Amino acid sequence: MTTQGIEVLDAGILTHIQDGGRVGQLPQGIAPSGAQDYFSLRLANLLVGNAPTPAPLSSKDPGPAGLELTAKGPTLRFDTDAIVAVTGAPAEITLNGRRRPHNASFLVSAGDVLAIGAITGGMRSYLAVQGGIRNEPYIGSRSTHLFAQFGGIGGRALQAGDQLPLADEPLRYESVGSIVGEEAARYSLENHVLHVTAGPQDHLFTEESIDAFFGEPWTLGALNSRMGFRFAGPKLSFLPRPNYVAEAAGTDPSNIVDDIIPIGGIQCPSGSEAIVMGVENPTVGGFAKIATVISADLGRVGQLSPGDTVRFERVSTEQALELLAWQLHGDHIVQPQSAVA
Amino acid sequence: MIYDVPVLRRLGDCYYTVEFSDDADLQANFRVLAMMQHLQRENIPGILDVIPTMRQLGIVVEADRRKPVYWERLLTEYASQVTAPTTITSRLFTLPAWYRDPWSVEIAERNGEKHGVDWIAENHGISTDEAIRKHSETDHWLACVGWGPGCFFAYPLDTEGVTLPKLATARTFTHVRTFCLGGKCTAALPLDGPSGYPMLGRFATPIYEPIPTTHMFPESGVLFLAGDRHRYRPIEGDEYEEIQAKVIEGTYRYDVVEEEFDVSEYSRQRATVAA
Repeated sequence: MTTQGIEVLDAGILTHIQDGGRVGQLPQGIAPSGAQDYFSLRLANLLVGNAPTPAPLSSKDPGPAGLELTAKGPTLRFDTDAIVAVTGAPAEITLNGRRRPHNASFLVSAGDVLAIGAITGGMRSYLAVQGGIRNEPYIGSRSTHLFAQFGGIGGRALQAGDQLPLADEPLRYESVGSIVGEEAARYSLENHVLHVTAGPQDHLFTEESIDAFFGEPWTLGALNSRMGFRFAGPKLSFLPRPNYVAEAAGTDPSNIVDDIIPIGGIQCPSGSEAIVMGVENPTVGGFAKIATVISADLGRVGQLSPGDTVRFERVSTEQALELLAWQLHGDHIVQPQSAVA
Repeated sequence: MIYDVPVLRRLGDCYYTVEFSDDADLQANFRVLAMMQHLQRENIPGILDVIPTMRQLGIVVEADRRKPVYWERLLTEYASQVTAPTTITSRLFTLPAWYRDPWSVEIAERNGEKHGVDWIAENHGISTDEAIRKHSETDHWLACVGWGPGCFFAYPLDTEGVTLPKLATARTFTHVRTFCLGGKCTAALPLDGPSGYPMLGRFATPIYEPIPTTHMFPESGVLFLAGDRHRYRPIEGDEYEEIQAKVIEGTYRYDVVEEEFDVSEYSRQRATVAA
C-alpha cells in the first residue's frame, strides 16, 4: 500500500526521482537514466537501511527510489514518520528550522517540514527515505528520464504540490544515526581527476592531441545536463581519413559513421570541446570519442560545477573495475552505537 | 571498407564493440544484425544489451561479473564466426510523409538554412517534385535506432538515393516527427529537439510514444527497430490533418507487413548494379 507520503512545498531548482536506472532499452535509443552520482544515492539508501543502489547498467534491481537534488534542494512536508538521509554534495539541511546532519540518517515525524537549501562543494545531493519513494515504475525503474519525458512523476522534475508516495510499512529504527565513512563521503567530491579508459576512437586523433588531452586541464562550461557535460580545453586534431569515410560520415574531421556512445563517452566535435556523456546520454552518434569515463567516476562528473577544472587520467579496464568493486563491496557505513538516536 | 577481421574495442568498464567496417555499408549492417541475433539466441549470462549500429555492434555487460579478458575472448570468437545472413525477418512500414511541410519551411527560413528538399533539387538540377520522388522511390533499411528514444537511421535500399551534407552548426530546435537527411541517412525527431541534419518534411504518424496510445506501440514507446524497412508515402496537408486526427483519436493503424527479407538475393542484385 502507498497511502502515505511527502508533499512537495517547494521543488528547489531541479529535483527529480531517481534509482539505479533501467537496462535493456539501449537498442531503442533509451538511455538508462538513474542517479548521475549513483554512489551517493547508494550511500543514502544504505544509511536509511534500504537495499543498495547498483551501478549504472546492471541487471540487479534498481533499488529504492530517492531524490536527486541539483544546486538547491526542495522543501518537503512529511505526513508520516520516516527515516531519511541526505548525501552527495553538502547542503544546509533543516527539520522544522533546526539543523540536521549531512551524510547521516535521522528521524522525521509526521507533520515535519524538511528543507534542503543551497548545495555547496558539489552540484548534486541525494535524499533517501526508508522504503523508498513508491511512484509507478516505468520499464523496470522509477527513475525520471527528463529528456525522454518518462518515469518519475509525469516524466518531469518535481513541482510544488506534487505528492510522493511512501510505503505503508513499519519503520526499522536500527539504522537511525548511521553515518557515511570519510573516504566514501569524499569520493565523488574529489573530482579534480576523472579516471578514463582510452578510446574507442583515440586512434583517430594525432599523438600530440592525445598528449594534450591527458596532459592539460579541462574546464566545465555552463551548458550541462544529465545528457552531457561540456568541457573546454586544448584544441584537438585528427589524423587524415580515407575519402570514403568523409563522404559517408561528414566533412568535419571529427565525424565518424555513427556508432554507439557509452555513458561516460567523451565526444570531441571538431576537436574544439570534450563532451562527457551523462546517464541520459544520446546512445548513438557521429563524432569521434577520445576516451570513456569509468563507471565509478560518473558521479564525480555529476558533482562538477561550471568553471571547475579537471584532468583526465588514464586507467586500465581492470583498474576501473577495482574502483567499482570498492564502491560496491566496501564497508562504507558506520553504524550507530545505540539502536535509536 | 569492411574489415577482413572484425575489430574488438573496450569502452570504459562495461561496454565492448565489435566493429565490422568504418563505412556506411549495408553489408556490414547485415553482419551486425546477424551477430546481434546470435548473441540474443545464446542468451549469455552477463550480457545486458546488444546495440546494433550501421557498422558495429555494441555489447553491454554486467561490469563486475566477469573479467574483461573473458568478454574479449568470447566476443572475438563470436565475431570470427559471423557471416552475412541469407534472410532477415523484417517489417515494412509505410509512413505518410508531408514533404516541405510548413513547419520545416518556417524553421529553415528562420535559421537562414536551405530547406532539404530545395537543396536536393538544386544539387541534382531537378524540380522539388522530382526531389521528393527521388527520396521516396526506394524503400529504406533501418540500420539502427538510437541517439534518442525511437530515433532511427534509415538508408536507401534499391537506389543510390540522394545525399545532403550535415549542417555545419546544428539547429537548436526541430519539431517532433520532422524527418531529415544527413548524408544518405534519413532520420526523424522523436521529440522536439536539436538536429544537425537538413529537414525534408514531417511524418503524420508518431515515431515515439512515451505513453503509448497508438496501435502497436509497446510499453517502451519505441515501435521501429533495426532491421525494419520504411516506405515514405508523400502526402499533402489535407491527408496529414486527417491522419493526425485519427492518431489523436487513437484509431490510426500503421500500414505494416512482416516478411523474410532475402539478404542474399538483395546483395546479388546490388553487386550486379554496381558492376
